[in-house]
Amino acid sequence: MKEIKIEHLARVEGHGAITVEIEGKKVKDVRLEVLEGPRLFETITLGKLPSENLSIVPRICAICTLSHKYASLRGLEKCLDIKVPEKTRLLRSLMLHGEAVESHALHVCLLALPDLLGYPNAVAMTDKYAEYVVRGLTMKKFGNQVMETVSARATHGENPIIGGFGRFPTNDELYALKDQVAALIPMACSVIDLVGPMKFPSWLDEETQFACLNPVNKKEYGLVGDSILISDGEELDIEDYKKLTNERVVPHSYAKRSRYKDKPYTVGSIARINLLGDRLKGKAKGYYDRYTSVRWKRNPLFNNMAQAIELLYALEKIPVLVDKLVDMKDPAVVKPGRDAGKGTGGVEAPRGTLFHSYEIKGGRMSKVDIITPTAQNLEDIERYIRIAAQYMLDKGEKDEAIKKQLEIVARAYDPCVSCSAHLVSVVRK
Amino acid sequence: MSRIGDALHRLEETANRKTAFIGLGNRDRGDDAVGLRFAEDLRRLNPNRIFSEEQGLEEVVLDILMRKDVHSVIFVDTCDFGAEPGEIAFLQSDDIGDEISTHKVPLAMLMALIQKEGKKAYFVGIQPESLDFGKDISEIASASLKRIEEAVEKKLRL
Repeated sequence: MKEIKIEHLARVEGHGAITVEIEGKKVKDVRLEVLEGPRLFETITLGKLPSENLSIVPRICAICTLSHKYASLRGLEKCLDIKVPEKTRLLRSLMLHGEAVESHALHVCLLALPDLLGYPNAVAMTDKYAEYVVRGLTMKKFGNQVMETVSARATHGENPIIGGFGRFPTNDELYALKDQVAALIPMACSVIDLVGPMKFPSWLDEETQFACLNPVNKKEYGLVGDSILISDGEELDIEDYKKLTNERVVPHSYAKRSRYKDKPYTVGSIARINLLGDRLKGKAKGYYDRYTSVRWKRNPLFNNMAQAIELLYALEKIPVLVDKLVDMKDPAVVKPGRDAGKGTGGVEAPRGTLFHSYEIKGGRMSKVDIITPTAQNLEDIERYIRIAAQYMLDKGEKDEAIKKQLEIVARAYDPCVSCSAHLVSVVRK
Repeated sequence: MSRIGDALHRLEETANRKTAFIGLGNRDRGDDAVGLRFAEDLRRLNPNRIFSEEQGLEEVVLDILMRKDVHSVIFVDTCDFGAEPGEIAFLQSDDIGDEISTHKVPLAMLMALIQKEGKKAYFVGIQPESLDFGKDISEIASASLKRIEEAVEKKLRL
């Protein structure tokens, strides 16, 4: 038996390995091994105050810190019977869109483009495509500025609190964000224009299932919802999230696995675009109409393109949010209506649906369940790696070429291995 | 000349009044904090030429790309180059690999961008003794950092 092993998947967050076992000419097993040690966040916060939980759990990830913050707020506020006013809701939405800009600009322009353009690494790409790197950095910087304006820090900001915000940004600060968007939209368009016409291999095509949150306003594209939309047409109340995730433990990984109706599913930009894309507006809708096809439901490599469209969507959404916010008075922080309760909050993080489910008793955290997007995607990543490995074997490719292709497939998911609890090794037997 | 002496000599020869310095690292991981400590110690002397990763690395590099008064950039960090703890290496941008990224823009890419803009990019690294979580910078790495800071201070007075 031969084993191809990618001991550390580069250009993804965290420590993961992919092992592919090959017997003769057949792929016998694929294991996406999450090697990050257990993070134990769900235990650390037990017995602590909800406000302490809110400061601790976003430390799960420095990229999706505000997604964790917002999902946590939604779960905690449900438990405590807090309903926040419109301005608080819109400002939280603004911070989430800033995070989407920061995360997607980084992944599409700086981490995925070398794969898509066929370069061996990011440095080689800068020779011919430096302008795209600079555009990516510029949009990333803006995303950070949005997050800093709203949450008080680009990473792990503490301004969003239970019931509202410590301080609302001034209208001048909000206009300063809006004023920059006009120059950034052409940058996002240029990235889609570059990636959009690229051809992705059809040998990877295979149907899968998708899931994302259905936005509260069901006519709009969005990143926050109270129900889960699934590609089989079902819609689950967010409190029933376990009917989607059905988590189980596998021996080769610290991350739990999720399956819906006993099959893998995918969350993230590709899921959102496939399920909600016809609700997009503006230039993002134009690109959606031009580039999406039935193959987007079969091939994970289109996730890179879906992220590029979402980058544009988020940039177009930010001025809309600012215009609404500047006309509203700053509301007071809403106090809890009770000190015990159960509740599940969810947001669409850049990599997909993020669930924070809580129970509070006597004002202290008594149950915590956090399910991250990458953990939900792991089964599908393994499945598509298997397809890619078998195709490359059938073509008689050498191990190094196989490894490279498998890494490209895994990276298309933009996995955050630290969040899910790390990636390729090929074993020939 | 010793390895440390050679690295410091090359640092002093390369840096001039048009050089910016960027300290990198992680203050929670022992000697990995040397680059951040470097920026903390020297930033007050010239905040236009001394930067820290904690200010936002990509943002700092983007600003430097636009600046006509900066002709070269020297990154300061820990670096495992297989030497004894406390040793110092002065590296060219070609010596920096396309490192494993953790949702961060690879340093090698940022250095390549700086070069693409017609500026020079270098790296000064201290071989760490320990990168354990929660530890302070080791005595040996602190001593090496002090020598780097003394060399850079002379250049900041230019």
